[in-house]
Amino acid sequence: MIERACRGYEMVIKNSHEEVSRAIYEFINFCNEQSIALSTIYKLRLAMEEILVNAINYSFLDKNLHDIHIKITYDAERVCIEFLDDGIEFNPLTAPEPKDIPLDERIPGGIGIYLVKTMMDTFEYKRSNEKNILTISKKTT
Amino acid sequence: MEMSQRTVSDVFIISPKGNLDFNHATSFQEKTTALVEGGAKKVLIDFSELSFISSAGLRVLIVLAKLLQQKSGALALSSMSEQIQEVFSISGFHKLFSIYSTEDEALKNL
Repeated sequence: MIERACRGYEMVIKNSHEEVSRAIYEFINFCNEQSIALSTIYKLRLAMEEILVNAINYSFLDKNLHDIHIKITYDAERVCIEFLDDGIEFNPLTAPEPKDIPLDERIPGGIGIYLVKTMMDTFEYKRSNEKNILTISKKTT
Repeated sequence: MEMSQRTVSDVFIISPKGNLDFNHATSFQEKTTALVEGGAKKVLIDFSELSFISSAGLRVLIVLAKLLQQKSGALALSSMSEQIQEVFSISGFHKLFSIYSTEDEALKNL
């Protein structure tokens, strides 16, 4: 059996745009340190932005600050990102696919999660203990 | 967001730099809306210096396209990186816009 070093980190951000920027900045630095291909970093970064912005815009019905936990693991073959928040239940896997809608009928929004689902290798959602847990992964090799 | 602007005959060419993401989409929308409200009818977005676009960026391009449509104007996009082309392709947005490989090609068709 090949033993592979597993790297990663965890961080907690608040539900604000500034905090999303901080999370993305840290993540890009981590990916660069691991020499992950730029085309893969692009897709992972996009996924992180879409999921976090979606969460802060739609998950929290009050105006209080909430924690969003982010856990990154990388085993030299795959990057895995877990997002955990205490927002309202939302399963992105059930969101409608907005492709092929004419310009006149397009309503802004809806495309981000579709991009993530298409660009990632795995996309899992579960609701546990009143928390949303979204996990995505992408091969890097 | 940082972007340069120039004109070639009656075409307004906008070159956004860096990231057209959730942080920069609003300022891009404000600047492009002001341009169209100021009378620009033919607009070309030059993507050559843009390294990243997310759905927030796609949304403001839709807003710009709709605004130009209302004013009987035209919008073209050019010089996209491979990654950005892929975002357009996956989202189906490549069917909604006139996209050209080079600025020259876009100018000929606008």
